[in-house]
Amino acid sequence: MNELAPKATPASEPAGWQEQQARLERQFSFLLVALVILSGTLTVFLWRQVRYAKHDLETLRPMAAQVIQEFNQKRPEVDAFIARLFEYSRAHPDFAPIIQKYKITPVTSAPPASATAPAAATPQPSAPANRPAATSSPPAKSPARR
Amino acid sequence: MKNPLSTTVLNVLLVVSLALSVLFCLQYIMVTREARTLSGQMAHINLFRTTLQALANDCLAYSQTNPAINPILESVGLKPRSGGAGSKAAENR
Repeated sequence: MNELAPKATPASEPAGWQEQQARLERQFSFLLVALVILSGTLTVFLWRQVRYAKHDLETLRPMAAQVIQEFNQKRPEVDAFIARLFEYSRAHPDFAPIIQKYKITPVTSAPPASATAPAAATPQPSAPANRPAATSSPPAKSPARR
Repeated sequence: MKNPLSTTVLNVLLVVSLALSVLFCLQYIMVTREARTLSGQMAHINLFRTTLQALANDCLAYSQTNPAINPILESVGLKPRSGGAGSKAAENR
């Protein structure tokens, strides 16, 4: 029991602890204030970024809607043109290299998979020019109309 | 802390700020994702237009030596319609 009993401490130690505690408290306060300032800065930065991004989107949205609507309106005509070119290339093999150069596939009747999948109705940015007429999209399924 | 009130206020401010940061971050992700999708679709359409224009130019060049393709080009307005029964039939279409 005597071993567990607190040893006699010099009189200067409690004052040292208090000083250390006060120093830690000051440091904690300082770090907390710094963290609040940093977090506030980040919040303001993100808020401004969101504002700019929303503004850009509002500018882009009508433009994209118009472009996509025009594209969907002209699409049947373009598909018919490509289909006629393919018919022509079958009858005239000398024209085949020209149409093969663009890697355009002729439009057939809409496959069931593309008719059911909504993603197939939108132009895919991944393979833009390779198969422009491969997916036939109804004009009503414009992706820009939300 | 000497003043627990100031610590509480700072903690509340920190929590609010962090919550707003998360909210704005999610909003930013959603908005930029939508903008990127629209830009991609527009780029695709523009590329398709360019490809189609190049194909049309090739068809026009081809039609100089092979006039048999003319009805197709005339039907989409790539070439002015020439007079005759063929053009009338095309106009009826």
